[in-house]
Parts: sequence; C-alpha cells; structure tokens
Amino acid sequence: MIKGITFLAQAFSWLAVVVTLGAIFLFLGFLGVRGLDTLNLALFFGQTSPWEAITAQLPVWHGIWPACVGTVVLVLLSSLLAIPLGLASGIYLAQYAGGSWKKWFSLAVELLAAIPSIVMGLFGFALILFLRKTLAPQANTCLLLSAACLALLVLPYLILMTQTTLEALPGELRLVGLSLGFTPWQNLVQVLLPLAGRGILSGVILAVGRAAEDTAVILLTGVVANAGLPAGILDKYEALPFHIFYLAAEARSEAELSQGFGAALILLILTGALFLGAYYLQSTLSKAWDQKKLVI
Amino acid sequence: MGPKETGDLEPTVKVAGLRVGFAGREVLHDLNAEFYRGRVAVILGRSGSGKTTFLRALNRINDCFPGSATRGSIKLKLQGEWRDIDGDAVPLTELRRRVGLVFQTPHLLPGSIADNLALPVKLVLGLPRRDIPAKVAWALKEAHLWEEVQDRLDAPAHTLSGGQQQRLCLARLLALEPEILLVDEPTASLDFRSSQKVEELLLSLKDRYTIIAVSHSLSQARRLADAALIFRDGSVVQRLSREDLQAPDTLQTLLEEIF
Amino acid sequence: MFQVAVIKDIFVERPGGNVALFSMKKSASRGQKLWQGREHRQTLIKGLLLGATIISCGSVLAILGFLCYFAIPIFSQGHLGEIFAWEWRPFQGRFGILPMVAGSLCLAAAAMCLAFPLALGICGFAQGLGPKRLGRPLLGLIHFMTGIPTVIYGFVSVIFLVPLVRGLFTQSSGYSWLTATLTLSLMILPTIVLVIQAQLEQVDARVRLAAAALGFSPAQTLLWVLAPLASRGFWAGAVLGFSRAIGDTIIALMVAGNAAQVPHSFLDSIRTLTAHIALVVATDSTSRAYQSIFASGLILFGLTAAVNLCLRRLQAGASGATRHD
Repeated sequence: MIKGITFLAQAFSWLAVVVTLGAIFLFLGFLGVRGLDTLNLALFFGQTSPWEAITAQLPVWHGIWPACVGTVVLVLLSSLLAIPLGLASGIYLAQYAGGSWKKWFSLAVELLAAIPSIVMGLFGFALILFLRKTLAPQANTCLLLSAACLALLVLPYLILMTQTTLEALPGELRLVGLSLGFTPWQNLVQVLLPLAGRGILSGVILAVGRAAEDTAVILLTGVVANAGLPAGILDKYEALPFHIFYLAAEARSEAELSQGFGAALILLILTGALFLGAYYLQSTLSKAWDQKKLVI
Repeated sequence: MGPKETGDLEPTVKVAGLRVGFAGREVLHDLNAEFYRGRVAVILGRSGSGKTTFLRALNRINDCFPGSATRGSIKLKLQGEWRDIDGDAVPLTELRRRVGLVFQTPHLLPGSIADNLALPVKLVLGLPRRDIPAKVAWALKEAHLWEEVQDRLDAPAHTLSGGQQQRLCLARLLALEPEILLVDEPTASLDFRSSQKVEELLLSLKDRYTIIAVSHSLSQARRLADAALIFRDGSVVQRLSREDLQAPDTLQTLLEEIF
Repeated sequence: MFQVAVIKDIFVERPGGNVALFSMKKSASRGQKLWQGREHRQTLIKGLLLGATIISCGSVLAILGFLCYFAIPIFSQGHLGEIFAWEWRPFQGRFGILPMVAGSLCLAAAAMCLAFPLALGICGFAQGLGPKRLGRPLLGLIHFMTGIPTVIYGFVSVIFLVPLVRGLFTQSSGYSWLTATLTLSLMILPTIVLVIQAQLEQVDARVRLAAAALGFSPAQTLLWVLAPLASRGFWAGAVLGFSRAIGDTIIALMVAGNAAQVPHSFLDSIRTLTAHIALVVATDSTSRAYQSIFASGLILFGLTAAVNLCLRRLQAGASGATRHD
C-alpha cells in the first residue's frame, strides 16, 4: 500500500513538473522566437533616427521609445516617493515602535499589501473625481497620480523588507553599538544599516520591478496609447506594459503585432534583470552572514 | 572581602537592593554588592542565575529589552563623583562609554580592524579626525594586540582569530576611556592559548580600572579573581576572597554549587 | 512579483531576537550641551520616522475612506438592490454586479483547482519525490517565474492560447473562462510553490536526519514526515494563491471575454470584478455605473483584507509552534 502511494505520488509530481515546465517553456519560447526577430533599432524608434528621437527633436511613430521613456520616468518618480517613505517606516517599525502601536501599524501595512492593484488604481481615480468636485476642477489623471499610486502599491514591500531585514539581525549585534555609547540613530546608521544594506537594497529592487511591470494601476490613472514623450508630470504619458496590453487588443497589422512581441521581450528582460539582481543580493547576504558565524 | 583588604581601596560601584525583572518575572532579587578599583571581581554561578543580567544592569543595557523593570540603587563613581545611574543624572550614552561591556562572543562592527576602533572614538568621543590614528594605536597596544595587527589595520575585522577579535573588542572599549569594565564570559568561545592572552590582558588592566567579570570556569576565577561572588537563582549566596578561592575545600563546595 | 508573506517566509532565514529599542529619555542635566543637542536630534529623528510611518499606514485608511465616500450614494440613494442584482445591462438601466462577483469567484476557484495540485506536485518533486539535483534548478526557474510581468502572460495568451481554444472548441471565440483559468493558474503557481516550499524548508533539520537514520527514502520522508508538519504552509499557499487570483486584473481583462454573465460552461465568457472596474472607467459612463465600480472596489478590498487577516492568523499560529524553548 505504502509503495503504491509513494509510486503514485512520484508519478504525479513528475507529471506536474512536466506540465508546468512544458507550459512555461512554450510561453517563453513563443515569446522569444517571435520577439527576438524584432529586436532592432526600428523597434524602438520606428522611422525616426535614434539621435533625433532621444534628443526629442522629432516624435517617434511606430516605435516603443516613448513607452520606454514613460516607464522609466514613472518608475523613477514613484521610487522617489516610495523609497524614503518605505525605508523610514521600516526603520521606525523595527527599531522604535513597540507594543500595541507596532501591532496596529503592522496590521495597516499588511492590509496595504493585500490591496489588489486595480483597487489602488481606483483610489487614484477616485482622488481625481474628488478633486474635480472640490478643489481643482481641472484635475485630470496624469503621470504624477500614477506615480503616487504606484508608490502606494510598492510601499508595503519596502516597509516589510526593511523591517524584517533589520529584525533578523542577531539580537546581541543590535546592542553592541548601544553598549559602546552610540545613540540609537548612530547605531542604526553606522552599524545596523550597513549590515542590513543588502537585504534592504534587494527590497528596493523588487519594488522597482513591481512598479515597472504594473498595468492595472496605470490603466486607471493616466496612461494612454499615444502621448509621445512625457511632457510634464501633470500630463498623460505612455508606458511599456500598457503598450503591450494595447497591442494585444488593437494590433491591426503584422507589424504592430511584432512590435508587441518586441515590447514584451524588452519588458521581460528589464524585469528579469531586476529580479536577478535582487536575488543575487539576497543570496550573497546570507553567505556573508554564514561567513561571519564560521569565523567566530 | 574583609575590611583589612579593602580599607585602602576605593569603592567605585555600590549596588543596593537591586531587583531586575523581565515581563513580570523577577530575575535578580534584592542584590547588594560593592566593587573596587584595582581589583578583579569574578561572578560565578549556574546558567540562568542572573549573572549576565546583573552585568547588564550596570550599564543599563537591560533597558533595551521590552518589559524590563529595574529597581533598587546602583551608584557608580564616575570621574570622581558618585552618580546614581537610574534616572536622568547620567545620559545613557555617557554611562555606556564610562562603563564598557564585553560580550561573550566578539561582536564586531562592520569594516576593518581600524574602523572598529575609529568609529566609536569618532562618534562617542567626538575626536577630530587627525587624532584618531594615534588613539587607535594606543588602544591596540593597551589590548596587547598592536604587534599582531599593526601591518594589517585595513583588513576586515572578521579575518582575525576568535581570541584576537575578543581583544579587539576590549581595545574598542579601552579607546573610549572607560572607568569600569564589565566582561561577560570573555573566553567562553576561545581556545586555551587565546584565553590565556585575554586573561593576561585583564590582569594587566586591573590597576587602572574596576573589572567585573562573569565566568563559567572555576580555574579562571582562581587565576583572575581578587574577590568572587557566587550567584544562585538571582541572589548572591556567597562572597569569597582570593585566599578562599585558593583553599582546596572551598573548591569542593564550589564545584557542588556551580556544576 | 512577490507577495508579502512570501517575502517574510523566503527571504528571512534567521529568526532574530525581536528587540524593540527605546529612545533616549530626555536628559535634564545642565551644562552638557553636547548631550542635549544629541537628545534633541534623537527626538527629531524619531519624530520624522514616526511621521513617515503614520503617512504609510494612514494611506490604508485614506483608500478605504475614498472608496466608502464614493460608495455611500449606493446606500443613501437606495440603490443597494440595483447594484446587488444579477443583470448588468447599463443601456437598459441595469447595474447589477453579481455576475462579476460570480465571475471572480469562478475564475479564482478554477485557477486554484488547477494550480494548487500542480504546486504540490512541484514542491514534492523538489523535496524528495524527484532526483535531488533537479530540485534546485527547478526551484530557481519557479523563482524566476515570479518575475514575469502579468501583462506578458496576458499577451502571449491572447496571441497563442486564444486561437488555440477557438480552434479546438469551435463554438467559442477563444476568450473564455477556460483560457483565463489556464493563464491565471500559470501565473499564481510560483507564489503557491514558494510559500509551501518555504514552510517545508523550515521544518527542523533534525527531523529529516532522524527520518533518514531510520531508513526512510526521501520520498517517504516527504510524504509521511515532512508534509504533515508543513500543513500550515499548504493553507498559507492556498490562501495566498486565491488572493492573488481574485486580485488579478490584466489576465481576466485580456482573455476572459468580459461578458457580464454567470458562466454555465467553461467556454463561456466571464467578467471579473477587477476587469469590470477597468472597463467602466475606460468607457466613462453614468454615475450609476461608477457606483457599481466602487461597490466592486469595496468588495475586492474586503475580500483580500479578510484573506490576508486569515493568513496572519495562520502565520501567528505557525511561528508560535516552531519557536524553540
């Protein structure tokens, strides 16, 4: 009986692996095959020459350059908003907060993390509706709004990564600086953050990756299919994930479809690279810890 | 600790009625003790008898643990004046500088050997940058570590051996010009040779500092101690002088007591 | 990308002493300007950090507040019955969102039915049912899968899977519950795998050693020793996977068909709450339609919040059980 169950379980697990691997390889293979052909300058810049496109002298038609720039600007802006806020909150929760305050704050952070991205976008949309009714009748969805909503989306990741990395430092190590006479802030900056730095950095990278790939939030807060390079933070803009989404639904020619594949491949490479970076940082972090233990 | 031994020595630590508890559970009960400059006092006892808690009470590191409650009086003679360390008379950072604590396992600061000394000196003492190398060299010499590391001060601190790391931690304390040294089982993680060096170092320092050490090793206590306190279940059950420790029958009772 | 619980379970390998450090008390000593300056700075720093935390945590309240503010007209104007109805035909004045609720639940449930067993199989493979040296690369691949953007799953599905389904089942347009299920389950699979995997890894090494010393094969160790101990991981994985499935917008929007109806067969087109929100905002319709999306938003918020709290309860139990005395 036991042999039978074990055999069945093994067979099932092999089946699961084969099915999953098959599916994912088909997926990526399909993308890679169709997409690799399209990777050339024309993918980005269409008919316009690269230099003129980059210096914004001429608009780019039939190229994904504006979407790429839009994504980069969007991610930068949301990182600017989210990173200081997230790190500061994570530090506060790990080092200064105590008792019931900490429980309530942690609950709030976890609820924030659970919010689906479309609801976050809906919040942004609601904000604009509200502003239109009250303070600013001209308010419209724009880059700034998207960046703010994306910042809220990735904020929980940052807070939790920072908090858990700091709290994972060995208890006595957190006391050393204090026992020497450092103030809590000095202890944090000079001792704890350097040690926790890698973990926090990998959290930052994950957050950046999440912001770059998100489609649902930007769908509701200002992204459009054709806006060219972002003119200002209160304007509409293009973004890579939305471009892919748009092309999947509205591609009217083989050329546009190919562009979709190219864009998808670029986005995949971007997020893949970010992800690998974060993973690498995290694995070297644990190696550094193990080394320290060995020497002692 | 009979009067004829201590009459000519100045007390620097007076503990009276000390009670320490964590989350409602009392760990130290009504402790009284006195410590003197120029002497090494060793605290012996079983695991869980409150030795480390006592040590940590003296520089208020226990305050960092949630739910800790300290009652009683601890007075330290810092810079010639008696100060009560509870309350606000002495700022915490000042207190912890003057009362240095060495942990059981060496806890290094991130960076090189020199960084480990330079950082506290810069942050706590506020020394200007040009004075720091001299201070670092002085502290390393005090800790009997200078010859071994002088040509690799920029090497990462964790490349040192365990014994060297522990002496580095001591050097780090000495650089801050403390007056009282609290040493928590300093040789627990070290081999025989390294332990010897650390013990020699402590003996060489005792003239200028008040040293209170916790030890698990009876033979170490016999080598180092001018006075010993035996802890059991959070109270001092015996106080012994140097002669007492050397006597063979004390050895017998202590063995039963501690091990 | 990673969910919160996955981060905690996977990335943090070392349980630390949770030492909450107190700030310095205000010093009243006179004539010690250095210390006083430091004191004030410490308080200022603490204040800034607290401010940041309040902003971060307050945002949840703000989000909830706005959703409620816009959903209030439903109650105040008595539209509750209209919104919680079974027909969505805006041009005929029907604004019921229950088909979308059904759509969300059906899709999430179906995706879980497909993804969860597969996840179990993969975890089992990596933990003993398959050759050891294949386990690491497999998990590495799964890890990598978490980095694949959702929109790419959707895109490849539209180009590749939809025509396939259309070809195989000629009565369907290809955009259906089935297509969405296949795509969605592939997307949530890595999350479930990693959560269960993290739980299995946390089982004490001594248990594995004991089993091996008794002569258990790796497969037997997994099935009869590890799996029962890691049961919390299974629940956590299921809960988290379901939460991701419910919260997904793009895949549902791109391949599920978006017909506002309760599905009767796998080839029917369905619309989820998430896709509904995106569609209504895009078409800029009447205020009743807007009310429906805020109701949808509240339902989604409530669902995922409840699921997350459930997860917390599970994890709190788990951490209590694995702490060593």
